[in-house]
Amino acid sequence: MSVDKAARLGITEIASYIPDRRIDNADKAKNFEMDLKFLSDRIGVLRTARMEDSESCSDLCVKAFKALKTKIDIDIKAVEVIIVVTQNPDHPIPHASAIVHGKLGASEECASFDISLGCSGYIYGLSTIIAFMEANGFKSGLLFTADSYSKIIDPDDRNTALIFGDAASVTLISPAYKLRCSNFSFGTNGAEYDKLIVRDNRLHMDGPAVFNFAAQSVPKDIQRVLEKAELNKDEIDFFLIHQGSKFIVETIAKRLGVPNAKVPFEIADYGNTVSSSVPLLLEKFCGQRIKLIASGYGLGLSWASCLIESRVD
Amino acid sequence: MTHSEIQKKVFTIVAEIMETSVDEINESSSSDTVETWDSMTQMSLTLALQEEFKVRFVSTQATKLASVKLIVAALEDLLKAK
Repeated sequence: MSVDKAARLGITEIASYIPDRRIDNADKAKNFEMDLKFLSDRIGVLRTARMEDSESCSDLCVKAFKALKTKIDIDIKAVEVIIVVTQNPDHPIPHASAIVHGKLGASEECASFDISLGCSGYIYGLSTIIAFMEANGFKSGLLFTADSYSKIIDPDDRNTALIFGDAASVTLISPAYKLRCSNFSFGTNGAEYDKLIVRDNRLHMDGPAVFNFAAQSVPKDIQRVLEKAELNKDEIDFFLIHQGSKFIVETIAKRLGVPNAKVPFEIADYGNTVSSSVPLLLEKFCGQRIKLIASGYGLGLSWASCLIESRVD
Repeated sequence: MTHSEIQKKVFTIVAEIMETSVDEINESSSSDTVETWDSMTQMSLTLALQEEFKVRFVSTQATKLASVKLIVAALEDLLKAK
């Protein structure tokens, strides 16, 4: 059943920060005896973005916020909640959002907490911040995503070394929104938690298992959103799928039965940025008349999808 | 299911996943003879085979099934054990 169209809160603006520093994948691919055609056609990542060694998760968030301020006039003292989606906080304790809160100089009445999720995290974060703000009568909230996987990647692991890049995003949620979010769908397969896991401070990925999960679960989850929204896939302008790799995005498009042209893949220059991958795609659609489905999937194993469309008043 | 029935279905699935004509696929086809057969399409192929034959390859085996011959033999074993 479709939800009430008169949403009270939604996405007002999105901004992002991608570090300037790049690692070229061509040389690394040679070390893995991987040809460049495979790198560009299958993995789809030619360069990965790298934060400086001295930078932290909260620094990335602050830079994303600076980018937001160039797009919209925002009073940080009026922000009532800051949520950071990350699994790479500055420190295990305390939560990164408290550090971001301090660095931005937010009000003491501003709630701050983290969400520990990876590539599905932005969609969970959207649902969480909107529900939290509505429950408490808030009018201004910031949802950050920031994952610095460069700190947990083994440069000699061909399964992960050519994929992940560092980035952050920030989404302003308010009643003056341009995009509204609805018809969320969520899922978890905790029995497979070890298929994407950090052990000894290094990320380990069982590629085939993660591929199978994404290829099977994501199209079904998107179909659930379509059914809830009483829409068919032809009515959707674009499907913003987490940018795991070119091959997995194209596989999901094929199994969903939609052309690649409707499923953007745009990470060749910076890599899979985990929780930031969906907002980086979504940023350019903010303010456009558009109907999208966004979907994230990854560690947990977890996934989430939702409908995102222009405001209709 | 007979050997030739399994083989015929495998030819069709391999051709579809590798985006080539089914006439190009035969018993000797493998990752060495089909240009588009690489580690990524191998994952897609394994998934398609599992869904079509309703079996599950163990993950260590799945990545090694890089020829039609090996796939048919593995499927025959799994289907017999069902």
